[in-house]
Amino acid sequence: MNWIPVPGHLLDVLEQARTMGREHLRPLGLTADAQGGPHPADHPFYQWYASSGRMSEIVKADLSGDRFAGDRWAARRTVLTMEEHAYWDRGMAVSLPGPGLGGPTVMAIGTDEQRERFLHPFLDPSRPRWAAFGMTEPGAGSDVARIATRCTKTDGGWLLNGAKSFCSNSPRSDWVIIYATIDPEQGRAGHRVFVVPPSADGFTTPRLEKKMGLKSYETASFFLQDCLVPDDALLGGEAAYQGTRARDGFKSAMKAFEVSRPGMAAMAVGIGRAAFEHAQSFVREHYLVGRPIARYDRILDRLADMERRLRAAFLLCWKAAALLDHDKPASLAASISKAYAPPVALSACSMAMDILGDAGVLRDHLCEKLYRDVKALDIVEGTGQIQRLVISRHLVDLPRN
Amino acid sequence: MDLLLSDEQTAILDQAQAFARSLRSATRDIESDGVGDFAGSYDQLGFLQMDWPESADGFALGRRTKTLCMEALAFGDAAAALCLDRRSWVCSPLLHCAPVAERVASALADRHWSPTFFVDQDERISEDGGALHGHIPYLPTGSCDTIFVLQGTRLHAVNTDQASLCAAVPGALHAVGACSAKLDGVEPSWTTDLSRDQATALRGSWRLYLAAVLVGLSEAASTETRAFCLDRVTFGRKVAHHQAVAFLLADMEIAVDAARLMVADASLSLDQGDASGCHGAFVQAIECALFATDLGVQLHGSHGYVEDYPVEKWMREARAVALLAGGVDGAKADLGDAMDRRLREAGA
Repeated sequence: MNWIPVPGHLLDVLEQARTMGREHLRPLGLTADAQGGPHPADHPFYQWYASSGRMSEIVKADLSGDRFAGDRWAARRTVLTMEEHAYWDRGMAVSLPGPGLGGPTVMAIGTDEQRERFLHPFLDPSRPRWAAFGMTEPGAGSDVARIATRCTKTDGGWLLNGAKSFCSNSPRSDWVIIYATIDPEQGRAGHRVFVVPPSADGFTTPRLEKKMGLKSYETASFFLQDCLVPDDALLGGEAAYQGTRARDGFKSAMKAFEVSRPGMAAMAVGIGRAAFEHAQSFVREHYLVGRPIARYDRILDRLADMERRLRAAFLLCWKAAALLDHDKPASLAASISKAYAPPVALSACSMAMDILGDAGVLRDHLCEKLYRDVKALDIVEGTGQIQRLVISRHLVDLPRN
Repeated sequence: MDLLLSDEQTAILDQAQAFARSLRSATRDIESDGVGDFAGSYDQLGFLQMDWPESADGFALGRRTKTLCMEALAFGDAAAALCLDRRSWVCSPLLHCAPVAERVASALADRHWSPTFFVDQDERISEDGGALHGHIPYLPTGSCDTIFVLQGTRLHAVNTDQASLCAAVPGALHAVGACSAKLDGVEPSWTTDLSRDQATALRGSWRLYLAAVLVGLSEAASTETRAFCLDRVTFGRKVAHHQAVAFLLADMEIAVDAARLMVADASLSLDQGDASGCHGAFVQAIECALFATDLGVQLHGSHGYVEDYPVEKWMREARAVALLAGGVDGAKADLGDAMDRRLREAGA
């Protein structure tokens, strides 16, 4: 099902996502969940994904300028695709090869030479590649302004020291975007953004986190211990952080979030839709035809509620994406979509389990997995509470201190 | 779905918002005295016939435009909007219902003809040999010429000279007026059997207009409460700058935005002939309005509970509007029926 009448020129994109989801993402997501960990980087699926040209398509869009500039449908296409991918398996969608949030970051503040060096390899379809985005730290999750990883200028480069947490795909990445500070007292003006390969000296072996769900991609934490990186690993060079550009590092992250939040919200909707449709099929097969039950009317009520709220959530994502596509301020709408969609999707998954009754707790049923998977969406890329802070700042200029 | 407004829609919305501001400034009077002088100026705006089909001398601008206006007007004053626009929000759904459209269009030719409707979800009205019996406890009008009674798929047009209307005293929406009706063997002037889809679409269309009104009310509560919380200071800072309050203000905005988009989506679908989104939009708008207006009173503290501020009025009005057209249970019944149908069709 589609939440809206999909414009004709997006139907191919949607169909492609749907086919890949049905044939690859869902089955691989289920096996990853059953085995309790992701498929290896050399899994044939990732090779197929890279050689099919999908990985390079995104990077081509990045390299053509701003991924979201000049294309009046880019954000909405992203929302549509992310919703569809997450419907089949959100974890597998995150595990897909590509530069991820690193792409827009390199494009936002990298020099031409850095864009070439870091992003061009992703145009090569001969093998899958990943990049990761390392901002979260043990002491600075949602409050990215408080990152404590230090960068110190030294002969021949920079020394990085600190810890990064919950960094998706980092163990298999060619490079990781590292946000660090020259001096925490300087706040956001002190931020510097580096591109660091996990093979660098002082980049410790990432520790894989054991998550309640989303088993099909690696979430890892690591330390940077006197990790020496060359000068040209600093995105944009030191000039990019001086004068009026002093907050560019932080702004680039915020810009990336503005673009990704409606997408994350749409992923929540996709998971919710999967739960909704799973519950619908269950009711059809078990309660409607075979054994009508007393609570059937209440079940219909719940299904209708799930669908209604998920539709509202998708519309919020679509609105935020439409604003982005038209170069209108979208930060408020993006945060509203991200605040609204994940709890609605969690509620849909929970209701689906209710509808299944005690069978709902069994791992045989998709909705049990979806319930574990979906919770993360209210946490990653700004918790629901952080979204409310952003919204409050827009509405009532809530002071930062 | 195109969420952006056309230039024409923007111009109409500007007009509606300007009119709504004048309604708001007279809010207290309107609650006690009716809409007074506003009726004449409202007629001149041409909003009444905005979404009527051209065959009924309407402008055929569509339900999306109409619901935008209803929301804007309700932001000014919901009761006044329902009163001023009654002929439209009662009749427009009927004008789009093929089996009765012509009859309703000809009745509308009389500029003084005043209709209302009642969705009989609870079988309050019984039919015996073509005569209707029963009691309608609340109609949102002080007087009217015709009551359209929708019972399942049967639509009756009851002339009120046959029914006994009694003035009623509601807790809200005073500007609309209120009465109850006793039908004691009343012969409807006509009765039409609609198809199930037509009846569901008719209920949905009525609910859509009410949903737009509820969104307008919610927006009013959200905006006014935000202003109050920014103006008032407690414990050395603006009320709005206490995080517990700021988050609630954010939640109000989120709820309003979600409900508004549901109404927009349902309106656009209805313009394409699909009424299925209307019931969900109504439920979403009800949840939003009950949440936002209650919170509005709450965040005003004691000020919210007294008539000096409009939020207590909006809380009462939201509760009242949410009971019309079968209320939330009626809408959920239609949503449940639609879901049942889909499950059966998919299982077949």
